[in-house]
Amino acid sequence: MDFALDNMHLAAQQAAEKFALQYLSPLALEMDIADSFPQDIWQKLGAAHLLGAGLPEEFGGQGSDVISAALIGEALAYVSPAFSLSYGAHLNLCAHNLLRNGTEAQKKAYLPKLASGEWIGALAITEPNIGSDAMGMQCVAQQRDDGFIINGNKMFITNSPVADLLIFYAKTDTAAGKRGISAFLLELPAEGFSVSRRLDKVGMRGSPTGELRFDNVFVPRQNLLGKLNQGYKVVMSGLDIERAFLSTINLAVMRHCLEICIDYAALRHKQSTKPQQYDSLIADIYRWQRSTRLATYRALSLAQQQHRISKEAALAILTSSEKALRAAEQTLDLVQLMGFRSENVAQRLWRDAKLMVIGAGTSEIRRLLIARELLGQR
Amino acid sequence: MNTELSTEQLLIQENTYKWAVDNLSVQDDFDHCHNLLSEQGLFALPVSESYGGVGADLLATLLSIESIAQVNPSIALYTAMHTVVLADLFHRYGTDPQKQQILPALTEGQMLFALPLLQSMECLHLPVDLKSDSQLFDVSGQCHQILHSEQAKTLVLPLANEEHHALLLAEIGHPAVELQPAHQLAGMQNLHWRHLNLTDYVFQQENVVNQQSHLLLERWHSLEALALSAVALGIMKSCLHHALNYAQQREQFGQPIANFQLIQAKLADIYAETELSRLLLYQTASLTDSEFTLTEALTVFHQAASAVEPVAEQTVQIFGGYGYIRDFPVEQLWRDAKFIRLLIGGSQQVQRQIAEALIAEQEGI
Ligand SMILES: Cc1cc2nc3c(=O)[nH]c(=O)nc-3n(C[C@H](O)[C@H](O)[C@H](O)COP(=O)(O)OP(=O)(O)OC[C@H]3O[C@@H](n4cnc5c(N)ncnc54)[C@H](O)[C@@H]3O)c2cc1C
Repeated sequence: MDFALDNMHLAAQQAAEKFALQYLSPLALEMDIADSFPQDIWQKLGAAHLLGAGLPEEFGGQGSDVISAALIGEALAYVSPAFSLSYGAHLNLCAHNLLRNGTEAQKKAYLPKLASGEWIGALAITEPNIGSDAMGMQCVAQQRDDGFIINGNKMFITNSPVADLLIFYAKTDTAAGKRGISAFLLELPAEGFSVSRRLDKVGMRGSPTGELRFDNVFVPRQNLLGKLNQGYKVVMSGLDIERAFLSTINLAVMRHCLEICIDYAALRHKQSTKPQQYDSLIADIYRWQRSTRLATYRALSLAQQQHRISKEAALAILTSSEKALRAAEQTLDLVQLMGFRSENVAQRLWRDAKLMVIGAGTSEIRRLLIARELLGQR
Repeated sequence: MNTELSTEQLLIQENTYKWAVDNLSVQDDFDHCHNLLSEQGLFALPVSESYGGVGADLLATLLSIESIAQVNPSIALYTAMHTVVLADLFHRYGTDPQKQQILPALTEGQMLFALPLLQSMECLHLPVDLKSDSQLFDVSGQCHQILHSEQAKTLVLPLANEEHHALLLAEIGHPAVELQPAHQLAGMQNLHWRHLNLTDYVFQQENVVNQQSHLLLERWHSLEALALSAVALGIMKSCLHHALNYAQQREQFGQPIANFQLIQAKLADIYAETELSRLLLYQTASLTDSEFTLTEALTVFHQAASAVEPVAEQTVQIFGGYGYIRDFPVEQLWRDAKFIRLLIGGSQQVQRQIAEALIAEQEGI
C-alpha cells in the first residue's frame, strides 16, 4: 500500500498547477464577483493538454487515466473551485461518460472537440421537480422513426449556458420507471432548446449554471447514448465516478484553508500572540485533508481498475465535502475575527464549499447510499 | 497507485482476527491470556528472524493489534506496547548484548515489561531527576499510570533531558521500585495500572539503552501513536460490526431498525470515520523511514482518537437500553474508546505539536 502517484500523475498535476497559477489565479476574484466564465482560458487549457486526461489518444486525448484527470481538477480547484467544477462537468460528467457509453462514431465525432477545448460539454439529469429522486425524472423522449422528440425541463445544469454538447437523460418509456430512461447526446444550439434562465448562485460563481427548456427538440437516432431504456446504468455508473472525481475539489479547498491558517498562525507566532484555537484548527484540517485524500484516491484508483465503487465514492465525497465545509467555515471565522487579508479568499472558499454537500447527491443521500451498501440492500 | 493491503498482510489480519474471536473474550485480562498470545506467536511478529521472530513489517504488526482489539482492546494495547513499540526500539537502539538478552525472550512472550504511555504524559520529559554523572544514572521520581502485568519483571522508563535520551531498564521487585495500585480508569480496565515511585534507583550501563539520539523517544512517541490508533481502529471496526448486526436483528414498529433513516445515517457515519482512520493508519505505517515523521504519526492518532469516541457512543445508541448493560460488549468498547480519547483530550498537546510542526515547515525552519 503506497498510494503513490506515478510519473504520469505527477506530470499532470504539475502542469495543472502551473497553468492554474499562471492563467487562472489572476481571474479567480473577478470570476466570483462578476460570475463570469473565462471562455478564452478554456482553449488554453485544451492547448496545454489538460482537457484530454483519461481520454485515449485516438480521440484526441492524453491517453492518461482518470486519476490524472482528477489531479488536474484538484490543482485547478486550489485556485478556483468554480472553474474546477466546470472542468469536472465537461471532462468527467460529459467526455468520460461518452467514452464509457458511446459508439465509435459518437466518440470520433465529439471527443476530439471536447479534448481540444474547442467545445464545452455538460450533463443534465436534474429537473426542476426532480433532484435526489433522479429516477423519477419527467422529461420525455417520444420515439419517431428517425429519432426522438424531447419535451421537458432540466435544472441546475453546470456549463449549460456555454455548452456545445449536452448529454441528457429522458424517459423513453414512461410506464417503466427507472427501466424506461435513456441517455442522449445533443449538439447545441438546437431548435426548440433554450437556456431559459442562467442561475445566480451564492457560490461557485464563474461556473455557469442554467435551467433548460426542451420544446419539441429533435434528437436523431444515432445520438442515443447507450441502449434504449438502459440509461439507468449510464446514470448510476456515472454518478459513482463523478462523486470520486469532484471530491478532489474538497481536497483543494482544505489545502487552501490550511495554508491560510498556517500563514496567519506563523505571523502571529512571530508576534507571540498565536491564539490556541489555531492549533486545533490546523491539526484538524490537516487530518481531514490527509484522510479524505486517501479515501478519494482509493475510490479513483479502484474505479480505474474497473471495480464498482458506489460505497467508496460516496464515502470520499461525503467526508471530504463535510470536512471541507467545516474547514472553510472555521477558517473564515478566524480570519474575519482578526481582519486578515485572506478574508476575500476565505469567504469565497466558504461559499464554494457549500455546494459540495448538495451537488452530485446530497450528504443525506450519500449516507443512505453507504448504509444500504453496508446492509447489502442494493 | 496501490491502495490495498498485500496478501501477506491480509493473511495476518484475518488469521489473527479469527484466532482472537475463537480464543479471547472482552472480559479477559492480559495475564489470563498471556500464554495464548505467545503460543499464537503474536509477540514474534515484529522481531527479526535472526532473533527467532517472524520479521513482519510495521503495518502487519499493527494489523495483528487491530484484530485483537476488535475482541479485546485492553489486551491489544498492552501487546502493542511490546510488539509495535519496544521490539522496534530494542532492534534499533539496543546494543548487541541487550538485543541478545531481550529479543529472543520477547519473541517467546517470556519477557514482559511494565511501562508508561508517553501520550499520557504532559510532554516527553520524564518525571525523574538525573542525579549523578553519565556513568551511572541515579534516578528518583514518580510516574502515573504505569502499564503493568503480573509477569512483568522489568520496568522500562523513557528518559529525556538536555543531555540524555535513553530507555532505562529497572528490575521490578528491587526495593527502590515501588508500584502502587492506580485510580480506577474509565476504560482499559482489563489491564493493571500502577503508580510508580522510584527512590535512588541506580542504573548500570547495561540497563541503559542508547544515550545519545533524541530520535529514540521520538520513535517511541510515533510508534505508540500508531499502536494506539490500531487499537482505536479495532474498537471502531468492532463497533461497526456489532452495530450492523444489531440494527438488522432488532425490530421495532414491525421492522428492523436498520430500515430507519436516522439509524442508517449513524451506520454511514460509523463506517466513514472508521474508514478514514483505517486509510490514514495503513498509509502512514507504509511510509518509508525518511517519510515517516512524528507529525504524520500524531496526525493518525489525532484522527483515530477523535473518531473513536463518537463511533462507540453512537454504537451504544443504536443498541438502546441493551447498549447500556453488560449483555453486549458495546458498553465496554465505549469506555475503552473514552480512554483513548482522554489521551489527547484536555491538554491539546497533540494538536499543538502537529500545528507547530506544520508552521515550522511553512517557515522553512
Ligand atoms: C451549482 C449546482 C450545479 C449543479 N450541476 C448539476 C449538473 O451539472 N447536472 C445535474 O444533473 N445536476 C446538477 N446539479 C443538481 C444537484 O445534483 C442537485 O441539486 C442535487 O442532486 C439535489 O437535488 P435537489 O436540489 O432537487 O434537492 P432535493 O432532492 O429536493 O432535496 C432537498 C432536501 O431533501 C433531502 N432529501 C431528499 N430525498 C431524501 C431522502 N430520501 N431521505 C432523506 N432526505 C432526503 C435532501 O438531502 C435535501 O436536504 C447542480 C446543482 C447545483 C446547485
